Amino acid sequence: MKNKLRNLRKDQCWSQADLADRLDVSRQTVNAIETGKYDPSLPLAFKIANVFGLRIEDVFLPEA
Amino acid sequence: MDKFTKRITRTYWLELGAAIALYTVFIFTVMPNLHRFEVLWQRSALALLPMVPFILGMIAIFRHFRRMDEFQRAQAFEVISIASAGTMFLTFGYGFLEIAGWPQISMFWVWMTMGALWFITNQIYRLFGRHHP
Repeated sequence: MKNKLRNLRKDQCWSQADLADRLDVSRQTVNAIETGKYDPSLPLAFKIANVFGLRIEDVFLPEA
Repeated sequence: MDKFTKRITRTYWLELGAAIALYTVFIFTVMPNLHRFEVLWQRSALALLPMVPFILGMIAIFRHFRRMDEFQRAQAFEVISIASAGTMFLTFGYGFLEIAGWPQISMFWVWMTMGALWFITNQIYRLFGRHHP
């Protein structure tokens, strides 16, 4: 699954640690999602979309 | 370090540290005095006393797993699965070698093997791990 997390985060001028604090997860987890090493669960994906005030499909995209 | 990791790491080391401290106290106070007890069940009960803080340590580890976020937990369970499989392979393999005449070694080595494999696998996963649940 692809995502726009890195760009969205940079648009807000947040570091990975800033975003991690807002999501109450580790910076390592934010990094793993941004680099495509980890696909988040649905609740975390909703939480991420919520932090940016977007819909889940605006942040995450299907691979193909 | 992010606030989340700082928070769960601090709690983990407080809980695990207390268990290790108690374990150390038992090892240095109980073990040297075991020979003073002549009755087997008394000696056995005292010998098992360090297992109480051991259980506390296991509880600290379980609680730490529950506090982890979903990515950390997924990674931790994969690491433990690989370490367990590796430990089974090595200990069973050595068991067969013992039957063939190799020297018998203590069961303490099972945990030392598991701990070493856990550490090594964890470092490999930190560098190269990929997860697609």
